[in-house]
Amino acid sequence: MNLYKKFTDYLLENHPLLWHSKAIQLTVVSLLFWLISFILGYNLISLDILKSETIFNYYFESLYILFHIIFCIIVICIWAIYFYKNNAFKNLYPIQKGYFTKLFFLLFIPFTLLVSAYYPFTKGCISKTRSYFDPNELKLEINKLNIANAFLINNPADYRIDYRVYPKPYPVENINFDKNKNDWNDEVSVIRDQQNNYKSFDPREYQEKFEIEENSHKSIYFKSYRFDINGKKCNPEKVICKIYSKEELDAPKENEIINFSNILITNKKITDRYIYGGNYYQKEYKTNYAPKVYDWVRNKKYSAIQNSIDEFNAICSKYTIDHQINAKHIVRFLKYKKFLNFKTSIVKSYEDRFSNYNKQDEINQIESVLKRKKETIKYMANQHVYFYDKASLESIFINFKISEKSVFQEYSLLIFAFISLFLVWLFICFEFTVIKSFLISIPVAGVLIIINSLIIIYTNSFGNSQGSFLISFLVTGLIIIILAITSVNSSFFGKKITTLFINLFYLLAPNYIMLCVLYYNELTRWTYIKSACYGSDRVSKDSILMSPNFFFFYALIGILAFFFILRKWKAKAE
Amino acid sequence: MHKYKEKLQSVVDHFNNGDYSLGYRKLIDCVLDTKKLEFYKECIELTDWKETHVPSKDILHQKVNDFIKKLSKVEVESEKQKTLLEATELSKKYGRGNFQLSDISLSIKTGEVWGLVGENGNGKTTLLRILSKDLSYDSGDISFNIDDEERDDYDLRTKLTYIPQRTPKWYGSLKSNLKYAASHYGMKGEENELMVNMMIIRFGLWNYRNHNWDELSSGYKMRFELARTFLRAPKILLLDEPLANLDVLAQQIVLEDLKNLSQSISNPIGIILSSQQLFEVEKVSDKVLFLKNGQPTHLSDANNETTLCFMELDVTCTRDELNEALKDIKIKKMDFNGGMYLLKIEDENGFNKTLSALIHHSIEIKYVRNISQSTKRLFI
Repeated sequence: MNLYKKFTDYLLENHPLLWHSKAIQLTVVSLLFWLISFILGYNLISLDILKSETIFNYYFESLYILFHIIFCIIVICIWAIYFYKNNAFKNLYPIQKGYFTKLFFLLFIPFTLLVSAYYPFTKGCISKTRSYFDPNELKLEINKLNIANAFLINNPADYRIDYRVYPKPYPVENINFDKNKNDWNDEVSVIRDQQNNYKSFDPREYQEKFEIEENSHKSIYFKSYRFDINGKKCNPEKVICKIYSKEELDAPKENEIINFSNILITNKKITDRYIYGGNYYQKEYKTNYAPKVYDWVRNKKYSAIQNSIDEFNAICSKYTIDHQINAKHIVRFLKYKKFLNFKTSIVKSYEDRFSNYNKQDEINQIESVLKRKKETIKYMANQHVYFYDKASLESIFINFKISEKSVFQEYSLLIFAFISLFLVWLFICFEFTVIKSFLISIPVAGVLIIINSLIIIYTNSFGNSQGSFLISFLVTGLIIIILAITSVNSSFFGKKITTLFINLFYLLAPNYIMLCVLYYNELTRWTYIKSACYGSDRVSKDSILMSPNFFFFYALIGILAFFFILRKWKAKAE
Repeated sequence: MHKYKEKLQSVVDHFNNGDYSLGYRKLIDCVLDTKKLEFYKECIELTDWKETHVPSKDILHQKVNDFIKKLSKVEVESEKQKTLLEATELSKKYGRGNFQLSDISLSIKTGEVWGLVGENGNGKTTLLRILSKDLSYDSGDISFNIDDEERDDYDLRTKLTYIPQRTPKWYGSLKSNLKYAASHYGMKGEENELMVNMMIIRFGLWNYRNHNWDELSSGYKMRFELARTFLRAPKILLLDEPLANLDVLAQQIVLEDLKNLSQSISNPIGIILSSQQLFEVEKVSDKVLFLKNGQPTHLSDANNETTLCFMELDVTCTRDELNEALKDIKIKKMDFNGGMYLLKIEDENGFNKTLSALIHHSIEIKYVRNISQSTKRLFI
């Protein structure tokens, strides 16, 4: 304690701002909590958890977040008690011009550390996950899984049409077409021929919703393929044949192979959280797996296929994945072509584009097909030779891949920075203003927002919706900013009114500065291009200014911009 | 003799006369005037030893003499007197109650103490707040001559120290609060520690230095405020009713301290203090400003009535007996306010004559005071 007292005395005598902010103590506590979080993250992770949770999300799933929030509240309350004990600004002690900016950053760093214990916790999870695999072996295992998986079907509980297995269409089990749904008019990507007729549709761009009925309803995306022979009528049988014809095998689509090739596992650089999409995925499949799979199938290398599936089994066993895959049976199905052959699938009508097409005929046809397949589907569901706990296997390998790359979700850092920004803003606010005047400014701000809303409603009623929202807010904000700066410098306004403006300014200024930039951005972000493919000639380009990084800086600049008038405001006579 | 040497000599005199407490406080003022850290350190050690060992007066006297010998070798530059604040024709009107403060003109120089007196609600606090730039005014002008390095109004206000009647609560220990203030005023490291200890000693807070707000009496809270204020090395000190919560003895000590500190050789300041303790304030003030209904009334304005005598009197007899006893005295007006009589006599020797008459008639006098030269007469 003596040492600590000496340390605090040193700060008090030599660095009053550091002493007042308690930034060093707060940083030390935050770093200690980081250490605890890392240790807990490391110890909580097990192979069973890796089967069901993504390590990125385990912080939330394990309820560690609750512990973290309670800890933060306790630490911040204790800190605030000490922080508000002394106040140089309220006592009119000499302060430097950058006093509040310095104070802001002194607090911003430890607060950001304190609220972002997610990182060390997840880092602990990642470290533990890394201990479960050898990076060199992992690559081999993924290759084995991806190849073998071409010959497997997936867990029926996790059935999705785009998991269908090469070389024949996966059974569309229990798909019920909901004829009451009227959402047939979705925008689809079409390719037109020279006569401007619809020629074909890209199935990847063409999605419809269907429901699988087992015990529970699940929503899936069915990627259908539409082929129009005469430009007017669609024949489902022909479409299905086209999709799964031999010719099509030469141009396999990426969704014909299981998702061990998905981007989270195979992509060397995890850029975002989207599982699907990206050329790399298709390229990966085409270069690494498809040639080998086709070679084995076309040249009837059944032993290779069986070995591959056995290796798949071995990996499942290694990671204690529940599985009943029978390689011999599966190969036998291949060898003797005992596929459960479903030639037909479901194709929706599209009356707008095929005016002569009878939707009801198609519905009847689909329903009859489904009815005939019911029994076969039941049989298929009982075939356990294909069964393995795909979800667990996939989860484990996703976690392995995440831990191998050790890449955090970049925007989550900004979320914590925003939380920290808000907290520091709040605490510094009460460093200079009194609660009473701050509370008065809140309903005043509310009234201003209501007035703004009324202006928006009024302008919208005349059809001027474009930008009216932003304009009315910007005008009000600009008035407040001007009034705040003017009132500080003018003797016309009393101290109370100036204080109100200051509080309003402090409440709203960051938002208005943000809105200013956003409005400018809104005006410039649309680009007109000519493209028949998208059915529209106006598309939105990526808005750089709308990114969270920029949002953060808008808020930061807004807050810091406010500090420069505080000295004048404090010195102003009542 | 140089002012500093005079001060040292007065310390020696006080100790020789047995006024150890006053002498010690003045000794500390001399040490502060030197602005030398080694003397601060020695003074603190001496105080610590004095408070810890409770030595005999002879030993203390001896040690103090030794210390004074060292101090006498130091040369202290005295600062020239200058006008710190000049206010002319200040006026301020409040919307409610139609109260108006008007025609206030004053000029405060370094080393001066101004007393501000008046009944409640006559604008004393308003005037102090205007002078500290805490409150705006409607007309008139105030000019400050404090520091050439002022950058803005905030800097100016850091040097205009206003202590309100009800001082705000502070948290933490007394010493840490003083250190915090000192470090903001540029006192770092050892200087901070020594200067804070010197102020703690100067205002008699040595045994209370680790106490917090709740553990201090009102008097010591005021002493803390003064200690904090003098750490800030103010140029102008504005005090609103500083004596309100102090006992009689403490009032005298605080006023004497203020007077001495205002006349510091190395850092003289101007002080304006408002108070209801008229006689005590008049005793230390160089000038007294009496406010009535927001208007200034100077005693010099009333002094043209030089032939009049004003006195306060409390006796045990009845009013008839008093009238009988004073029948030969030219009493122009006699009021009884319930507690005592206020007499206005048309004779400049009226005070002596009245006393003689009372003694002659064997009337027991409980209290008597000649207020002819006091602002108290302005209340009549």
